[in-house]
Amino acid sequence: MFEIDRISESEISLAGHFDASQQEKASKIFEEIKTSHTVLFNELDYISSAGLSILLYTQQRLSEVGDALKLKGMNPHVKLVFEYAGFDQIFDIE
Amino acid sequence: MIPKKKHLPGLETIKTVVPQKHLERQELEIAGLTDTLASNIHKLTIPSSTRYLEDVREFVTTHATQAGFPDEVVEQLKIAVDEACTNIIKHAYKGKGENIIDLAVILSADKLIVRLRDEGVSFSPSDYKEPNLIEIAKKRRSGGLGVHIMNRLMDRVEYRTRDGVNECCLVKYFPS
Repeated sequence: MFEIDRISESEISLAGHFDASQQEKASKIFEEIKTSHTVLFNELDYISSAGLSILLYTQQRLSEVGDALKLKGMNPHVKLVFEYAGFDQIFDIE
Repeated sequence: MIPKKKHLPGLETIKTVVPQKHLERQELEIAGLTDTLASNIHKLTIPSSTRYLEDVREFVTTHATQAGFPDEVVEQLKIAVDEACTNIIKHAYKGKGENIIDLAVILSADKLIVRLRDEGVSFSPSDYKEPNLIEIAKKRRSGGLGVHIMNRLMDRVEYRTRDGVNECCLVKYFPS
């Protein structure tokens, strides 16, 4: 199960398991983003490199116009994946 | 050998058609596990599609938990096997879902091995380069990130190809 929703003009929420089977669904939403957004991880139980690469691509695209993603509410397991990938240095994780 | 299938059965069906004639002793000798009992091997066969990743994670979680690994290590095994399977689906089988992946969790006195087998394009560890995050960001591809995470999480990751079958073994030792 994986859910992704734009809950406001500047917030996206993720829930469930974000693996390679969800790349298309997630890309569709992230591609709509043109300005800085906060991504809420509170309900996300799992992420793999497939999910990380979508976030990284979005971050790169936004950085070209001076904007960025802020990642909020990660559980310790999800946060570990960011650390193992070295992504904790790239993103603003709150 | 991994059986070829033209029509993909559901996962429940495929679990029951895992070939029983696996040469357990020979397999264990290859893995250097001659003291391991066949009862310490658990197998799962899945079609080569990302929709089965959740089943794979659950399979590994169940057996790693039963083996007594702490939650943190179970989580690491779960992530590593997901990345290994995703790589096979995307790179060995080029995203074609009509192939299959054979998985086994093998337990011995000091370690747990998750073994993945496929018959796709083999992965050469010597060609692997550490991921370049800028390149990944620009191309929107995971570009080696999965292998990097697997290497960080596991005690050992081994690759071999024999008779057209690729084998990837994720090795985790029990905490001393």
